[in-house]
Amino acid sequence: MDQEEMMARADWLAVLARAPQAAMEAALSGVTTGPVVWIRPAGIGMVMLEGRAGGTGQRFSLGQATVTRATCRAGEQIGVGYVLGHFPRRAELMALCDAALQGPSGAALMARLITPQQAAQRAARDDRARAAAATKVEFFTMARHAGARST
Amino acid sequence: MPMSAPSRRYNYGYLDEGTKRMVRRALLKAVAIPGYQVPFGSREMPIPYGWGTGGMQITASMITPADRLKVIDQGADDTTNAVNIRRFFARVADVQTTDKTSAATLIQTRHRIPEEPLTEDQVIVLQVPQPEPMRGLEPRETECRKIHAWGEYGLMHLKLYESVAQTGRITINHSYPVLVGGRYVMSPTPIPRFDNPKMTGMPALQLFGAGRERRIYAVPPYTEVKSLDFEDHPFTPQHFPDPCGLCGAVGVYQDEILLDDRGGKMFVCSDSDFCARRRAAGHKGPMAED
Amino acid sequence: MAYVPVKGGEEAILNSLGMVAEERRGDPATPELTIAQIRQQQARAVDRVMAEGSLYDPDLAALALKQAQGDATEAAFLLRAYRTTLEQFATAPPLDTARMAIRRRISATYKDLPGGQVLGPSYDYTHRMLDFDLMQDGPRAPAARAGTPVDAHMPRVPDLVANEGFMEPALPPEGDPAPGDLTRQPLGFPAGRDTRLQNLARGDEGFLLGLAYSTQRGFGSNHPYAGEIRAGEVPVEVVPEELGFVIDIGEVTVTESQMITSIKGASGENPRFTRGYGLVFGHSERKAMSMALIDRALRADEFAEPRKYPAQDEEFVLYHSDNVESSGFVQHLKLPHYVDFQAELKMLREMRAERQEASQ
Repeated sequence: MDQEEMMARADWLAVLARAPQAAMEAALSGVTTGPVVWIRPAGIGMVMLEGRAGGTGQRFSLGQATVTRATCRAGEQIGVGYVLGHFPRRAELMALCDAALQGPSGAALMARLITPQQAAQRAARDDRARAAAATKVEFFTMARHAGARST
Repeated sequence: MPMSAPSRRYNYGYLDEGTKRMVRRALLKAVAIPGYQVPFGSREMPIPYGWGTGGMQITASMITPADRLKVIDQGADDTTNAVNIRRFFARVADVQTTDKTSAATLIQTRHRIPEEPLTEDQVIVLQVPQPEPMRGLEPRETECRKIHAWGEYGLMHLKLYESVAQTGRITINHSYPVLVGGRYVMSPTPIPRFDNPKMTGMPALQLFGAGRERRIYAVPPYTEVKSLDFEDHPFTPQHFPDPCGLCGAVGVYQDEILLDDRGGKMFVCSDSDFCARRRAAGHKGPMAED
Repeated sequence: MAYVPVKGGEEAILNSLGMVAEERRGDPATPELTIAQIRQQQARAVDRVMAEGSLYDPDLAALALKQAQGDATEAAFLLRAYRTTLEQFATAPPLDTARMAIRRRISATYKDLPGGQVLGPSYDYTHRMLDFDLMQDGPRAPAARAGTPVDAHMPRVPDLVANEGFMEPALPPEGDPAPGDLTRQPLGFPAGRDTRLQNLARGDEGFLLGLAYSTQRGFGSNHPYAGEIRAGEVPVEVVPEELGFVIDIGEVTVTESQMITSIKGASGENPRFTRGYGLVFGHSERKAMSMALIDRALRADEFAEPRKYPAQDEEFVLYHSDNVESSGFVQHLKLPHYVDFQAELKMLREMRAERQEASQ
């Protein structure tokens, strides 16, 4: 896999990790892959989350988070699902989507699932960031926005 | 779309195999250095700390379907905590349980050692609330580690001496400190000092687990375990003058049962299995029904 | 009178469990709580359970709260015990709080700063008056939205000060070693800062709060400033073995607190600010700030400060901060102790008898 493919795959896996189960079920319903073999059936485990003292200093173990993962072979492709939380079915659907996205029906699935999900997720993030922005106390708004305070 | 089959079942014995290996490594070290407290990566168990999590982790790491498990608390099989721990292992280890001391391969206990002598084929696991015998004298772990490393147990002898000087006797009734294999001072756990003499030269392997304090220690079979004392104030176990009210046994540890609000009471065997078996064999105490 | 022993424990225990279940459910005419309701509408309780349970999973934390009838410590215990049964798949690269999607970010040390003071959702500006409107269901007004979102990357305040050289830098030790994990290796002393921070992050909020407060009331000597408090969502990345590259698997809500304290100029060094750090699961400023104050107090040796107070005493703090440990051991006194008690009673009787004999 080259760098570009890796990045594309990392991007869609991030979108899939946040995608609702129903959206993945619906998007997959029209997709035909080869026979599916579960290399690693959905399993729940943990990942240790770390912090850094002061934000940038010594690493420390903050605590664990639950993670669900699954790996399948669908036709020629290997698909993986990794999602934060306790979601066996979502991890499986992710793996199936990941496999399909690498195969012949990839472009169609991209258009039907990833692109709209990515847009929805961006909109939700933007909405939260605008709600936070509405609570911002600005003392020198005009000046900073005008760029007049540069030294 | 095809589903895989996610498993929600717990691993055999609750702990995962990696954790069991970690516990067993600590056990091996403990057996190799009798009486020495081995730190281990104690896990959080589904019962609270202080309720037997250390003993439970040892049991969970050793248990096999071929074992027969006995669990006692205060000598009895039917006390709430004993029932609860036994139910737990029946659930997660599909193990046969028994009340009968001689039938058990593995005995987990809190605060007692059974009256019936144990054999080479048995392992007894004691639950330990506070593994550090010096803790009451020195709250700091860092200092206690030095005391053990240097074998400087003067502080403990001083405590015993002060007790003799003030009251004419050693006033430690349970958790009576012992010297194991002539090297480490060890807490025998809160067993009454009545049980201390059972520890020395015992044919069974004695294992001690302290979950909250993350320590494991052991007394291998046939190891010398000496209760600390002075030549002119030798160690003495407790002695109960009356026979058991139900089975008539003497020379056993007894519970005092309050019968009414006018001072009526009855002394009975603390070891409920021992008492039941004696009654079954026809022994009868002064308070037993005909 | 004659007595027959019977087996007491088993049935009584089962019936006790049944009674818990009945009381947990309450009046069957009242609708049962859903996990989603708890997760969304009791989110701060969920946060506390995740922090003290040391496991980030809002659904399971909500389930634990439901099962424990809202008892946060009991719920944290349920999560801890569940943790034991899970395999650790991977470690993630450290969370980067500079990439936080800011929900709230304030500083007490600068009036205004790049990114601004973002008040976010906070009880700090409420009047603590019961809102009787909440007694009924009803439509709630949505929050306002600004035309432009908050900055995607907001510099951390101590880093702004550090740029001027006034601030003790926060740099990883040589080689940026992987941290210890006190859930796998037992505590040893002296404990590293990594161990201390992990212990505090999962410690009891009340214990931490009390200790932090003690440092402000004279049982400590640092005058702290809230350099920055921020809360929001941070992405979690892992490198799965089967992929070999970094993937983003979701996000967690965390609260970070940077306390800036006392100016030091020991042994000819330039005087500068020192720091304490707090980072906790969920949105909990009370806990993050307490953690930061205690972290700073525990760094006494680094700055050659005399260790005189409880909050500076690492054995005292680290051994007593965990509420699953302390709750278990305090409450183990409920377990039968009649063997031990009998031993004491017997000795008292004997000593009394001896005294009586001696006086006759």
